[in-house]
Amino acid sequence: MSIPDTPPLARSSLHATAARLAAVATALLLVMFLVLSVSRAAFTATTENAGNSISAGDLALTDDDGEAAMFFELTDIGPNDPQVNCIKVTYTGDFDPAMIRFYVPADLAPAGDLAPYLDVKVELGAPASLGGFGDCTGFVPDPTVNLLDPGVVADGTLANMAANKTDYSSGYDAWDPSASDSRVFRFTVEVRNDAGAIGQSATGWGFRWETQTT
Amino acid sequence: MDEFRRPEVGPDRQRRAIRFGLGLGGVFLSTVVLALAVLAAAAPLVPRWEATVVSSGSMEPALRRGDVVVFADHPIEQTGVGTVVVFDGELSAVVHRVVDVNDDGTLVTRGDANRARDSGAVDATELRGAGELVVPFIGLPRVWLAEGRYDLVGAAVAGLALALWSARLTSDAANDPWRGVARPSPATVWLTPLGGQPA
Repeated sequence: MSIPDTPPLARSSLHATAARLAAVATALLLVMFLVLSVSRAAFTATTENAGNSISAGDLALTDDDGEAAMFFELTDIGPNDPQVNCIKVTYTGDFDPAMIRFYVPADLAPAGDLAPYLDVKVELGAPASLGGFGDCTGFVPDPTVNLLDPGVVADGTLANMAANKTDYSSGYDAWDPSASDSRVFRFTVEVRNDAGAIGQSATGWGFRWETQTT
Repeated sequence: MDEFRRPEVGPDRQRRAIRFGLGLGGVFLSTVVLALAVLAAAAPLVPRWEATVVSSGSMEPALRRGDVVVFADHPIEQTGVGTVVVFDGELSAVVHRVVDVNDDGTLVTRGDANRARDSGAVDATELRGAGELVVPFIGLPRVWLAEGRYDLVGAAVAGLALALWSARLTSDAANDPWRGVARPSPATVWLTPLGGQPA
């Protein structure tokens, strides 16, 4: 194994030194080239990756409502007549995102004067909960979330939500997935027993789910 | 000492060549890693420059997880559509691209890989700068640390240690494939009068 007659502190030959220097120089050149080309590709503002194209790091939040409204054309609803519907929200991505939150963005704020008299309660389904858009059969609230009642993640009047829960930073915490994951949300909407609610309406409102990445 | 002067042939020489080749690989690999690390660490020393590590894939394929983005302070008016900006997000610094500029001068941003635009507009107080340079890969251990992937951090450290260790193979004269070629290295010539080991 060991070469017995190696002289102590022998110097490398000129060839060996040259080979080492060449390896270092090649490595440095490669690093320079790499940094410059990657920087150029990232910061040159000529092309943009369209959001709907498939890429390795695609992150998406989707729901199963098929763009339909949750409480479509509910008319003549009185107090003590809660309306219930479910929606399934799916996070698809390769990365661990931040907390998914939901809120009432300005473009989905309610029109009409019913909002202060409309109670909206949102429950988060357990990981294995059944249910989806238009069907809450088999819905099981997530017992680990417990605001007032098991699974409740939001409870208040629509007007209050539209005024205070308007973007990601102010929104309600939904859930924090570690990878691709979906959850069912159960919405319960009820008109308050208040004379001010009579004959009023709330239209064009909705919620938006969002997560943020760095 | 006789063998030292005589050109050698045979399996011994071949083995030395393999060891020396492995060592050169180590020199190359550790130089790449160390040069990237030095670049990433030294960039923030330049006035007005800062650096941040990309921790998610929202800007793929332009920026990948573990890339270090070096950015410089720029007035918000200079960061037009297409600029990659760094701003204070809800949780940490966010590196996204400007896709629109509002009438009030605030920026609308979106990650290249995201379908939706970011919900909040970026104003001058949140804007920290615009991207200047990307140092690829070198921040990965930092991302792994944050995610608790100590196994990957350990593997990276072990890999670098292995590369450094094999780099040493090239400086050991016992592995020198050219050993025995009667040609003094310049170091020998220079060092001998200074009391170095005479060849």
